[in-house]
Amino acid sequence: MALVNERTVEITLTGVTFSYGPLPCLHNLSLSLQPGTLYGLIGPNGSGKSTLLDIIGGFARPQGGRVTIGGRRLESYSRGELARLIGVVPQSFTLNFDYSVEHVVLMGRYPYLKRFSGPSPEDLHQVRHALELLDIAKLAERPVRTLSGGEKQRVMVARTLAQDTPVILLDEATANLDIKHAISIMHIMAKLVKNSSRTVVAALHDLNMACAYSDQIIALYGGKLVASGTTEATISPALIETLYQVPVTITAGTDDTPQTINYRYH
Amino acid sequence: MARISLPIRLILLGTAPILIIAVTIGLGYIDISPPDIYHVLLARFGWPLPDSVDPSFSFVIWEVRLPRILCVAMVGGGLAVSGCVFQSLLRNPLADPYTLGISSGAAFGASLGFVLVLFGWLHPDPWFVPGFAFIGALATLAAVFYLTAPSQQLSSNSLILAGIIVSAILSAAISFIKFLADEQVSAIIFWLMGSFIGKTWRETSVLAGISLPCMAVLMCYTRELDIMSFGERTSDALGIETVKIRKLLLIIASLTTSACVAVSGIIGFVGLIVPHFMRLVLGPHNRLLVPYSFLGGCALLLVADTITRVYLPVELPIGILTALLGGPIFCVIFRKYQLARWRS
Repeated sequence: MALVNERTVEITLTGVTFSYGPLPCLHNLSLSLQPGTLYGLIGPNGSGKSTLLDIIGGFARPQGGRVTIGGRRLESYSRGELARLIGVVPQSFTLNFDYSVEHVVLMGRYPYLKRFSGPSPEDLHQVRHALELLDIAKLAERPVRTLSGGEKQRVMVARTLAQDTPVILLDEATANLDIKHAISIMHIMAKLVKNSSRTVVAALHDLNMACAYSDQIIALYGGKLVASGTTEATISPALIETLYQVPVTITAGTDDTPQTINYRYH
Repeated sequence: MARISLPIRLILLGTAPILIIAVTIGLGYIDISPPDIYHVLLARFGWPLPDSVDPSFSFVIWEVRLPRILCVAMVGGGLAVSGCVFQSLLRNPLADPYTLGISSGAAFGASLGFVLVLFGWLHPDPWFVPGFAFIGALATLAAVFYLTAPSQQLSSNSLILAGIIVSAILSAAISFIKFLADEQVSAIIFWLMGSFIGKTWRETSVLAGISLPCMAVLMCYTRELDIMSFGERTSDALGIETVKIRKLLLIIASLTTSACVAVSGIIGFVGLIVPHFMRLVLGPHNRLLVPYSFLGGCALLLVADTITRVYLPVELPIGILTALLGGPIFCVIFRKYQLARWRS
C-alpha cells in the first residue's frame, strides 16, 4: 500500500475509570496497545466496548486513570492532532444532504488540509486508492444517501483509510454488512496491520470474525477487563460462557482455518 | 436543470442580483431610463450631469432607491445565508434563521419598544424599535444557549426544542403587548410582517457593518460546515472542535439574522427556500452554498420588494409576498425533485 503516514504509536491505559452519571462503565482498566497488532474487542452489550473506544479516541474523558498515546497524555493532543493519529469507523451514520461518495471520502483528508487550499494530488491519490480498495470506485459520483447500508459502511471505511492514521478504531463496523463485505473489510484491516504496522482495535459481536482476524483479544464484562492476550490462548469455552452465558464448543484452528466457536442453540 | 453545466449555472445565478438591481433602480413612482441612471451614478463621482437629466433624479436614486435596494439585498442575502448555515449546523433541512426563536425575540423586543414609546415611558427615537429588536433577538439566543448548555454538546435536537419553548413564551408575551397597545396595534403588526419603507443609508450601513463581516467569517468555515452535517461524532473524529465551532457559527449566523430582523421586521421563507433551491441546483457543498445563498436571497427579496414598491397600489408587507411568491415556486421544485428521486 502507498503510505505517507509511516508513524506508529503505542497507546497505554492505566487504571482508567469512566462512568455516565452514577453508573460505572469502565472500572480500573489497564491496557497497552502495540503497533502491528489487530485487537478484537469482545464482550456483551453494555460491557463497555464502545466506551473504551470513545476513551481511546479522545471522545470521552475518563474520570480516573490516564491514557497516553506515543508517550504523551491524551488530553495534551488537540482534536486536529488526534485526527491525524486515530481514525474511527462508526457503526452507522445518518446524512441529510446529498454529498457524493468521493466527497465524503475526501473529508477523511480534512485533518491534512490547510484552511484556504484545496486537496493536493496526494490527497486525491489517497482518496482514489481508498475507493478502489473498498471496491466503490464505480460509486464515486453517487450521492451517499442513495446507497445501500453495506455500501454506506464501505464509504465510511474508505474515509477512514483516506485519513491514513496509525491507529484505526472500528465500532461494530462490520455488523451491518453481508459476510462478503465484512470479510473484505477485516481483510483490509489485517493487511494494514501486517504491512504497515497499524494498530487496529475492532469491537466485534461476531466471535468467529474475532477469532479469524484478531492477533489479540480484549474481553470486557461489566466494565472490567476479564481477559486479554493472544487469540489462541485467550478464547476458551469458559471465557465465552462468562461473557455471554451461552455454552459453546471450540474447534481448534489449523494452518488454513482459524479456530471456530460453535454455539449451542436452544 | 442537469442540461446546464455547473459553471454556467454559477454565472447565471451570480449575475442575477446585479441585473435585478440595475433594472429595479429605474423602476418606481418616477420611471428613470437606464441612460439617465448611468449619468446620475457617474455625476456622483464628479462627471457633469447632462442638462437633459432631471436634477431631482439624483436625489431619488441616491437617497431613496439605492439605500433601500441595498438594504433589501443585504437582508435577503443575510437571511438566506443564515438559513443555509442553520440547516447544516442543526443537520435539519427544515431549519431556517428563525429556528432558534430569534424572530420571536426580535418581535418581542420591537413590540416592547413600540409600547414603551406609546405609553410615554421613552421619548420616540427612530432607533428604539430596531435597537430593541436586536437586543431581543440576542437575548433569545442567550436564553436558548442557557437552556441547552447542561448537555454540554449543544445538540441540534436540544437547540431546536429550546428554541420552540422560548418562542412559545415570547409569542404569548407579544400577544399581551398587542393587547396593551389596543388601537395602536396595527403599527406593531405592520412591523412584524416586515417592510423596507423609508430605509436610509443609516440602516443600510449599520446592517452592512454587522452582516458583511459575519459573511466573511462564515465563508472561512464552509468545509467544517460540510463535515459537521455528518454529526458531531464524525466531525470530532476528523479533527474539528465541533462544539466550539458550532457555537461560534450559531452566534455568527444569529447575529446576521438579528441585524436583518431589526432593520426589516420579520420576513419569512427567504431563509428556508433559498438554501434549499441552491442545494437542488448547486449540490450540498457549503463552499458554493454560502455565497450563492447570499446572492439568491438578494435576488428573491429584491424581486418581492420591487413588486410591492412598484407594481402594487398599496405597499404590502414584504413578508406576505415572499411567502406567496416563494412558496408555490418551491412547491413545484420540491415536487419535481421528489418525483426524480422516486424514479431513480
